[in-house]
Amino acid sequence: MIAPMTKYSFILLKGDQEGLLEKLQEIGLVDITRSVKPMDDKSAAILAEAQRKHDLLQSLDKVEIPEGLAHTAVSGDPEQTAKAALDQLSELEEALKAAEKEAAASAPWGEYDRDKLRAVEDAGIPVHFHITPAKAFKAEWADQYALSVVNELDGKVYYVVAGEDPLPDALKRGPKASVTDIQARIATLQANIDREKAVLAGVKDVRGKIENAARRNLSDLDLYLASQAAVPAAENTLVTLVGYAPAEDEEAVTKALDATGEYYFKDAAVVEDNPPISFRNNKFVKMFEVLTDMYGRPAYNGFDPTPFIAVFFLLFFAFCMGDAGYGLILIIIGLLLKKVDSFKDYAPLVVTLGIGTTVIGFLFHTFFSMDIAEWSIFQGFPFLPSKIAGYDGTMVLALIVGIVHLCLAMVVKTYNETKVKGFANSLGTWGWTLLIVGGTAVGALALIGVLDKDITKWVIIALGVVSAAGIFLLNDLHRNPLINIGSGLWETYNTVTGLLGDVLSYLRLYALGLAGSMLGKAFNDIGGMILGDGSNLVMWIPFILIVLVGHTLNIAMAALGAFVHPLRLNFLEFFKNSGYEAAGRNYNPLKKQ
Amino acid sequence: MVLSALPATQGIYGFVAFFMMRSMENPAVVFGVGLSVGLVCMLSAIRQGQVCANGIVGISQGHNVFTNTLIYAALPEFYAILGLVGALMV
Repeated sequence: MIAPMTKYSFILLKGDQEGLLEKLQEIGLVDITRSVKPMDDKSAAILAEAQRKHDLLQSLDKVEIPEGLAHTAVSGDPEQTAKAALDQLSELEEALKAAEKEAAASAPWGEYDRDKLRAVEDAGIPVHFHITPAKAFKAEWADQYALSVVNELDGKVYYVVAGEDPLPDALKRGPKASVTDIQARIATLQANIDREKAVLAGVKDVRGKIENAARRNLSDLDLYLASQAAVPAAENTLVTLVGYAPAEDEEAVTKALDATGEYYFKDAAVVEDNPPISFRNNKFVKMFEVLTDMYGRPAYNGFDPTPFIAVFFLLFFAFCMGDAGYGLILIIIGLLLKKVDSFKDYAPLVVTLGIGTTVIGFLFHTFFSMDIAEWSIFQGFPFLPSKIAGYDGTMVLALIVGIVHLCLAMVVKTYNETKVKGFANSLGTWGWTLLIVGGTAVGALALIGVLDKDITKWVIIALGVVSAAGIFLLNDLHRNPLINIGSGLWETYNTVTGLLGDVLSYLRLYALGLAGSMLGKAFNDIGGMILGDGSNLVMWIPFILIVLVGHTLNIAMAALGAFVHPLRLNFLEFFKNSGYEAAGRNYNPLKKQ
Repeated sequence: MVLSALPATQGIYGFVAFFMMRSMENPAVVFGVGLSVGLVCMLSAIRQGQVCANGIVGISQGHNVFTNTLIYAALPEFYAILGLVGALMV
């Protein structure tokens, strides 16, 4: 649900706002309406500074410190030390890469005395280095020229020619140094790299200082942006500020504000204030707030769709996966995610989705794409029947779930519109809800035999008449009735065409579940064909590989579809029919980072 | 990553349709249904790819359009789903 908010209005002497905002930052409960992006050079510079520190920490994390390397203690500013060492390390690693490349190129030429070679060249006899493919090299060249073969390696002949040189494949430059010289250079570079890594290892020991500095930058930025939200008044001698906090925290906020001695007054926030939206939900629903935030928070007089998303996203996700085995895998993945810092917030959601998938998977009698209804231990288990009224059971269930989802959306819309506009101004919506939800309920009761034919007929007629009055005549009490009729006809056209498409849209639940199940079955069948009767033990290896890789791929693809499509059914079909609008903004209190 | 991988699901629908039709005996029906599913899946994947590509460009330019792209990308895929369901009902 949407938490009621209290509005705090501050009137301060110019220059006092910084002190008050620092106090509010300490409390961490008051949301000052402010920009969320840098708005001038100063704020851009603060953000850039925080970003630089963040990048520096990322670069630092990428550096691999050799085991057993002694850490050099940081004496000065860790940030400057890290930056200098990272720059130096980057240059050294470049030089090492070049030296290793040079060593590889020089190795075939072996050891030679570079001074003697230079002496020959100084005497006016140039020395040319050649690398020629063995097939193209002619042995008679040794008789025709002053040629000496140095090495034969990997189908190539390495040789030098002194003096006249008409032969092909001459290198522009020979090896610059002998292998020994290059190896010595590599050793020096490696030692220097280790020295810089020792410095960086020392910085890593105190990386918390850089992290804290980055957090301070972000706090400063937040504080600066909040101070810029102050509005000058009384010929620039005063400033006013507006903030919001949840009403349930009013006592704590009031106590802290009274201690500052600044003048303020408070009121219950109203929709015209456009206060930030804070949700108050239980643990289960809270996990799904991340999905609501993907679309946007409601207006202050709107409704919190998260409880509905929590139930139906879970159901739809499980429907699309539709495999108890995959559900168990998701539970294991969720439990493993708890140990990964960057994903541990999502771990409960993944476990919950896994539990839902396992339950629905059992109901659909599917375990790693195998039909467990055929297993003797599950004989008599109340699985979903494969056929309902001659149609595929899963398909019928998908449509029923869709109809229930849409009916619920209409009920929510009616309730919310009545709450906001009043009963008299929402008769049109009442008409539609009565017609569709009432009609569906009566139809369902008649279908299962609770209502007999005659009663059903008269109830439907009564619903139709009452609904028509709301839809065509009373949809706007302050308007000309003729315009109301026209508007009702247009609404009828939109609803009839839209609703059919919306219901059919839930077929995707059935199709996605079927696609995943069939693909998994295909991998099982291919593996089974290779395995045969299982008597050949060697064939178990390709069987396990195919089944393992196949199901891993299938889980990944099924999870992708099971995330996107249920999200769309909630965001498009449910939100459209429930009149949900993401007109609000997230509650983002000013607080220390 | 999610947006890049999304149009690949149509390939799976095509494969599922193929898998479901292995037992069908009338070659003309298999050809017709296979061609229809293949075309629908291909066209919807191409269009979905265009939606996703535009979304990816938008995200790379700093716009917060991930959710919108997901919703819009699911629209063309629906026709591939309908194609598959239609093929299964033959």
